[in-house]
Parts: sequence; structure tokens; C-alpha cells
Amino acid sequence: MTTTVSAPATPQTAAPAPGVRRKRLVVLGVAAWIVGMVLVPWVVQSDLWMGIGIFALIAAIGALGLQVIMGFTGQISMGHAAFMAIGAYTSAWLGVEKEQPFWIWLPAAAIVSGVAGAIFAPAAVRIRGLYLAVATLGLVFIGAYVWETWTTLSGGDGGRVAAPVVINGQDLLNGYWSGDTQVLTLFQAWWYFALAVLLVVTVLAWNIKRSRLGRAMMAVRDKDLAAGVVGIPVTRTKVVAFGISSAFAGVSGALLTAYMGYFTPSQWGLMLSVDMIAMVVIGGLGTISGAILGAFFFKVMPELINWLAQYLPFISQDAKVDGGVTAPLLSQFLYGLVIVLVLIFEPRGLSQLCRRPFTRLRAGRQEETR
Amino acid sequence: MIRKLVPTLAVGALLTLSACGGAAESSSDGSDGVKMGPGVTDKEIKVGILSDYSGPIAEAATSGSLGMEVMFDEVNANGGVCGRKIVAVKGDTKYDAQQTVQAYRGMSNDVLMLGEVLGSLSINAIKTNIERDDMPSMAISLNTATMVAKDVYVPLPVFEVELANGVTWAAEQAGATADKPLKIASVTGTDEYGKAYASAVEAAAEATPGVEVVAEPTFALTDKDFTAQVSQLKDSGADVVLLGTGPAQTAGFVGTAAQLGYQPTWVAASGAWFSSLAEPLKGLLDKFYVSTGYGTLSDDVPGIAALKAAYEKHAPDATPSNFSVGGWLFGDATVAALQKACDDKDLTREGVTAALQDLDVDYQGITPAVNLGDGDSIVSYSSRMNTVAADGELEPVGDFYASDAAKAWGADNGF
Amino acid sequence: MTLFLQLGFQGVALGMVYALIALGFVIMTKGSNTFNFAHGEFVAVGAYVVLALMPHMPYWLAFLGSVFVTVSLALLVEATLLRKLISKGLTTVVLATLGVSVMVHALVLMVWGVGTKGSAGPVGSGTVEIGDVVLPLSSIATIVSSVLVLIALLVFFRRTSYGLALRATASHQEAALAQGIDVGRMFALSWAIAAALAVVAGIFLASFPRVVSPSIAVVALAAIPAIVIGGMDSLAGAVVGGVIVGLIQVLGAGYLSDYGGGRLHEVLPYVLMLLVLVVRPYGLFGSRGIERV
Repeated sequence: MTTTVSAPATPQTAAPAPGVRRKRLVVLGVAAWIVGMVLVPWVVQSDLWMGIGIFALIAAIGALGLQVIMGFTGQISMGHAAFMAIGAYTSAWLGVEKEQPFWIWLPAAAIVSGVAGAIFAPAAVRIRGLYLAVATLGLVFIGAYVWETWTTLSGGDGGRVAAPVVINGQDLLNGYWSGDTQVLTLFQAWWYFALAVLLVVTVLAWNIKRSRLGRAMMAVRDKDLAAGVVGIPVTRTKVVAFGISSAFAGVSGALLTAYMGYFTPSQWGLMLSVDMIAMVVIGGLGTISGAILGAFFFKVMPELINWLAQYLPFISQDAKVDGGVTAPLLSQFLYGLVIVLVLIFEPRGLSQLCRRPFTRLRAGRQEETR
Repeated sequence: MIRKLVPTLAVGALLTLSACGGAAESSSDGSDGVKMGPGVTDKEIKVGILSDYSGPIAEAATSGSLGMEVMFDEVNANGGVCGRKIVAVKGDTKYDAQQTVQAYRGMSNDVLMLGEVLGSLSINAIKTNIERDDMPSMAISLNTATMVAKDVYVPLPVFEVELANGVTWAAEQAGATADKPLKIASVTGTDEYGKAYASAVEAAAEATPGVEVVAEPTFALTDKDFTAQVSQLKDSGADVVLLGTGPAQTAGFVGTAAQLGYQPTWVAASGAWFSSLAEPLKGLLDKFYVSTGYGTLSDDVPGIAALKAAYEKHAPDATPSNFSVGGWLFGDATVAALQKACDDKDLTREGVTAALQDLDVDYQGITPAVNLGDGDSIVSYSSRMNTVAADGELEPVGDFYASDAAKAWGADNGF
Repeated sequence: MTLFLQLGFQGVALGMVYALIALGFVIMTKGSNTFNFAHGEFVAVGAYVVLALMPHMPYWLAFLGSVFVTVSLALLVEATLLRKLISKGLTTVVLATLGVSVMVHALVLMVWGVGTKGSAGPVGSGTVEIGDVVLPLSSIATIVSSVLVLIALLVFFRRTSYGLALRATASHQEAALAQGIDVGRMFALSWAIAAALAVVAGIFLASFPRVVSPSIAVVALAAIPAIVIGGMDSLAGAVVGGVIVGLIQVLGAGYLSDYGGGRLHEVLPYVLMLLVLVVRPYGLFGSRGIERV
């Protein structure tokens, strides 16, 4: 009678079991990623790209929220913009009118948006697919109406000031100073702040995914009828999913406006929801890295294309009214084209696209050792 | 693990691109002893333009941007300012708040000032940033709300002035007196700008004997049908209708009125007209007037001649429009500020801000010269009435004038 | 009373435009189970092409020319995109149509510029008067044409073999396949019909006193409450829903302008839509069981 320590299928080597090895690689990978992100402000000198990066970090938080409801739970939500707006206005009111610090208004934005999502959810539980998409779309339009007419909160169409992020008495939008010397520029300071919040949210999302709640969500996604049959509380799961997703959206909205410094009701329209959905789908539905990747992709790509367009010979550099291929228009066209191409060639998203060569490699190695 | 690698790769891409950007330039002295701020070198002065090149107001915005760029080209052809070429750094706002902030932050360390920020939404989005960066900015958002923002300058008469003057002119034309009152109405949007325009019309009516406001219908920006509002106007019996709208609504109101058999005199602010409307509204523009704070392309003045010549030389494929004139005038103001700063040997942001105080700008006849004062007041109460020619271009009727009613309104509101 | 009739008439006319757009959406949903984000852009292309062709040829020819161009565009999108992605799930397809809408929008701006143009309708600014109520010719043309189109569609779906095949595909794809119906061709047909409807919607959307401009495509969004209220898989529902939305907007602008900041008429269709979704998700005329994707 033999006792084997390693799994029977894999041969004899002294290597640790694949599960353990994989875990180590994951930890290494995450560590490498975090180190990379921390180093970014010291390497990237361009303000334009740092600014884009910060918007990307903030969008990633919102994208993670959308991932929870769409990727994990399979519910299409086009109302994300409305929940981001709720977070933004909550934070602005608390941060400016009530002069609360960020460690009050940021969680508050999450809570208020989360509750709003949970309140809306029961209405959404009965409907699926296209109908759900359309219902959540209605939220955006009704939200837009509310922001535009509730002028004491939103400042009307002219907009209002957002909550400042003040650390040690310093508004991060001025950078971080020690006495008279500037230790961090506004971009560096905000990068770290947004990165910190993103990391917290990422850890939360990851824990949710691996928890029982996460598994319940995925069961609902895959076949909610069957999930109900095996005893998963479908309604409750959906409500919780909406709540969590809206909470993340609220955080993203609050940070977005805090970084902008001033915001208007017109920002929270359908296109914002659509941008978020695009990030999650193109990045990869159902994965954490997909949400983050998608957010960066969608913030970086238009600017990249803009930059590229300068060097293409047939672009007219002048502003034109009567038609003609100008850089902004071409860049818009290419933006749409890239979305379509990614969806055609890798509908499971960029994170899958990047995984492909490695999966093939690994499969190849397994072939050899067999 | 692999999945974490990819964001790192994305970051790597960012790194390679970081070579394309430069860090902020700090002040230094030029070889000619002129203090230089961000965006200024011995050869160049960088001026930012934030406009909508591909979004909802691209028609007007693109024209306006080109007007300024052509002005800069012309100035550069004549040696530039302080021996330096003015370089326009363009950012596309898509008339979206986030995009505007992104575009602004991307250029804010590279430019000395913003020569043009087009649209109220865009200037609002970056208001606090402009204040924080002490960035002197000219906003093509011709209303009083924009004008009073810190570091934001509006070097032309605002729409409220155009409308108020329009009221006075209409009263004069109709010979209105207390015994023979004139009924007027205003059409404005439901937002706060609309409310400001409506109140300017009200104030002008109060200040002018015999003028009575009988209707103030409003419209939402997404409205496709204006029967309700036009019916309201018709029922009120208004003889003159002041239009504080955009071009799309102008077409809707004039067209619907024609269908309902209602033919008032229309007085539109300059933002309400675009020449392409002449064709669909053919035959309906006999009683249509545009009150503009600045001249039109058919004026026989040195400024317009220079504009047309500059377009021939630097943008031969483009056709100037009345919005281009606006951009050109903003160019005038920008160049005047830079020139004065240059004369004071201070091409820093503080230098430009100082130059903008009490700055005299001569628009070479396109509109009366102005003095920018402290930047928070209406620089000019002069506007002029125009009719519309068959090709959509504006043709002046009479001269520039500044009505007492408009001035009284301005004084009452602290402008 | 006159005001009510006047506004009611205009509301119905505007509602018919929404109905035409909604019909396009519904046919695409029924025929190929997709929600086409780019439909609004097809409406825009339809209007722009008619306007471009109008000065050079009689109106009906310009209209047909535009139908040809728009249908070709729709078929191109359907063949390259839809067939490949239909198996990958609704979200993927919808997002792809979003990408297409961005591309087409940019193309329209590149070809025709960013400015507003003229009107593209078949009739001009004339009117007919009945008592005190003025009936603009463009509104009459809209209503009459829409009714004719509706009748034509009904005849097509009930009496022709292609129509029958489409309905079969819409109700049960597998069964239709089993009957020997070429499902791929049915997809293409539904897109072609929707594109033709888009052109009709476009010319009336840009009828006097409205003009052709890049923002025409955004109107498609206003048709979404129409579809939901009417029922996403019902042709009659699309028309009724469209008329309801049009009436709310125009009557609302007339009677509700003093409330809610003057914008109530803008948001009411969406409120009504949400109410319908909560109370009767399949809409006034839709069929139950459509909740499945």
C-alpha cells in the first residue's frame, strides 16, 4: 500500500502540488502589480498621462462595482451612473456644507448609494435581461431630472463644488507639502489616494467573490431558477448584489468629483453608465482584473488614439466644421472600432486575451511531461 | 497570477508614453530679460484652447476655435508677441465635464493661459481648477454667471446685454409709450442661464416705458416640439419675442410659429443664430433680427477685412462664420493681454493676470473697444441689431448702441 | 379646448415618429433577439442621405436612395457583427452595437460635418385648418405615412410567407430551424426592415420645422420608454407606446410647464416606463414570458 503525497496524475518531481504553486504565483503577481502601481508616479512624468491614470483608478472602483452586479450576479445594470451621482452628491454635501473630513464622507457615500441600490433592487428582481437594462436606464434619466431640478443640492445646471480630500490639513488638489517644500505633486498625491481606495475595494471584491455570497451570486447568474431550487435565496442575493454594486459606484462617484473639484448634473447621463459597462465587458466579465484592466483600457485608449492620429498623414490638423477627417473624429471612430474588434476576437475580454498565450504555454508543458 | 501581470504591462505602456510628456516648467528669465512662466520659452508662448471638436456644440465651437487659431497664425506671421510665436494647444472637451477636466489637467502645466474655453458647461467644470492654478482664462460663455468667476474673463458683451438692448430697440421701433404699450415675450431655457436671460428681459421691460412682458415660455434642451410654447406666445398676443435660445430651438420656434399663423417680430441673441438655418427657414425671416455684441462678416471695417485676409492665407479651405468672428475677437483680447504682459517684461501667469486688469482691447471696428476693468464686470453694453441675408449671414441695421435699460440692469446686479 | 386639440394632434404626430423608431427596435428584437444601440444612428444616416440626395432628384427617388444606403449599412453590420456575436450573449451583442453606433456617428460627422443642415421632410411648412386648430402638413404627412407603414407591416407579417417565417423565428428559433427556415436570412431581413423604418422615421424627425443635425440620433433614446410601455415584442405596442410618449411630451409641455422646473414632460415618460416595469413588465401589449433573455 502506497501513500502518495502528490496527486496521482502528475509525475514524480519534487515540485510542490500545483495548487500551492499557483497560490504562490498569484501572491507574487499581486505584489508585483502593487509595487508597479506604487512606482508609477515616479516614472511617469507627463501630467496628461498621470491625470488619465487617476481617472482610470477611480473608474476601476466603479467598474468593480459593476462587475459585482453584472459579472458575478449576471444582472445588466445601466443605472450605474445614477448611483455614482448619489455618492457624489452625498460626499459633496457632507464634505462642503457639513465640512466633514474624507473618512466620513467617503464611507457615507458608499452607504447612501448602497442603500439606494438595495431599495431599488426589489423592483428589479422580477425582471431580467433587456427589461432590466431598460429599467435601470430609466433610473439614469430620472436621476438626471432630480439633479437638474434639486438645485439647492446640485447647484442646478451650473454645478457645484465637490468635497475636498484633506489629509493633515492639506487639500490634495494642491499636492502634499511639508512646510514650504512640495513633497508630492497633486497628481502624485491623488494617485496614491485613489490607489489606496482602489486596493481596499479590490480586496473587498475579491473576498466577496470567494465567499459564500459570491458563490450564491454566480449561481444566480448562471441559472437563477436552478439556484432557487437548491436553496439559494435568489431575491436576497440580488438585493445584496445591487447594494454592494451601488456602494462601490457611490465611492467611485465621490472620488471622481473630489478629484475634479467641481461637477455638474450633466455628467451623470447614460454615456457614463455605458462607459462603465464597456469597461467591464471589454475587460472581462466576472474577473477582478478584468474590471481594472477595462477601466485603464478605456481611459488610456482614446488618448492614445488621439496621440497616434497626429502622425497619420491624411488627418487634417485644422478644426473643421464641414466634414473631413479630423483627429478628434477619427479617434472617436477608432474608439468604436476597437470595442467591436475586441468583442469579435475575444468576447470574454482583455483579461482572457492576455491569458491565452500563457494558457497555451502551460498546456504545452503538460503535454511534454505526460 | 497572469492576470495581475497584465495591469503591470499596461503600466509599462504608460511608462513608455511618459517619455512624451514633460514636467511642469517653472519660471525663469528669458534671454531678453522677460520673466517666463509655464508654456513660455524664448521662442514660444503656449496658449490653451478648450473647445468641443466632436460633441454636441461642435459646430459653433470648432468655428470659434479656428477663428482664434487664424488670428494667432496672423500674429505669428508678423513676428509674434515679444518675438515669440503663439502656439495654440488644443484640447477636445466633447462638451463633457470629465473630459474637460482631463483635457485641462493635461495642459495646465504646459500653457501660460487659456485663450478660449468654450461653453458654460466646460468653464464650470474647471472653475475651481482655474482658481487654484491662477490660470487666466477667457471664456466664450457669454453670460454673467461665468464672468464673475475668479480668473475668468469675458471680453465681449454678454447675452443678457444683447437681449436687454434688443428690448429697447424693439420699443423704439414700435414707438411704444405708456398709452401705446408694446407686448413682448421671452423664450429661454429652464436652466439658470435661461432664468438670467429672462430676468434681463424683464428688467429692460421695466426700465422702458410702455413695454410689458406678457409671456415667458421655457423649453427643455431635449424638446422636439414647440407647439405648446408657441401657442402660449400666440395667445398672449406678444408682438415681439426675445429668443434666448440656441440655433436648434430658433428653427423650431420660428417654424412652428409660421405653421400656427403667428408672426411676431423676433429678436434673437447672437447665440441663437447660425447661418445654416437660413435655408430651412427661407421666407420666414422678414421680421427676424439678431442682436449681436459684435460685428458680422459683412461689415466694412479693418477688423473684418483682416479676418478675411487671414482666413485666405492660413485656412483657405475653411469658411468663416459669425462664431469665427467671436473666436477672432477672443484672439484679439488674448494677444492684447500677452502684448501688455510682454511690455511689462512679465510673461508669467501673474504677469498676464496683471496685464488683464484694466486692459484696453481694440477690436478694429468689429465691435466698440472695451476695457476689461477688474474682470468681473460687463465690459461693454454695446450691441447692434442685424437682419439675416439669404445666405444666412447677418447684415447690420443701424449702429452699435448701449441702452440705458441694459446699463441699469447691470448696475442693479452689481456688474 | 382648442389648445388641447392642437397639442393633442402634434403630440400624436411626434408620437408617430417615436413609434416608427420603436417599431424598428421591436422588429430587431423579435427577429434577432438583439437590442441595437446603433438604431438611432441609422435614423440619422437615413435623414442625412435623403437631405444630400434631395436637391438632385425627385423626393421619392431620394427616399429610395436613402433606404438603399441605410439598409446596406444595416446588413453590413448584421453580417459582420451579429452573426459572429449572437452566440456570445446579449450583453456582448448590445455592446458591439454600441461600438457600431460610435463609429457611424463619427462617420456621419466626417462626411457631413458637425453643423445643422436643412429639413429633410417630404412636405414643407404648409398647413390645413380645421376650425381653430391648425394641422401642419408635415404632421399630417407623418401620421398618414406611419399608418400606411403600419398597415404594410401588418400585411407583411400576416399574409406573406417571409413575414410568417419571421414570426416563426421570433417565437421559437429552433422550431423555425426545424421547419427549414433559414434563420440567418431572417435575421438579415429583420435588420433590413428595421433600417427601412429608420429612414422613414428620419425624414419625419427632420421634417419642418425640425432640421437635420448630428444630435438626431439621440432621439432614439426617447423611443425606449415607448417600447417598454407598449411591450418589447409587440408591433401594436410600439405604436401605442410611441403615441403615448409623444402625447406626454407635447401635452406636458403645454399643461405642466409650471411644475417641476418646467421639465416634467421630459422625465414623465421614464417614470411611466418604470411604473409599467414594476406593475406589468411585459408592457401593455407584450406577451408574458418575455422576461427570459
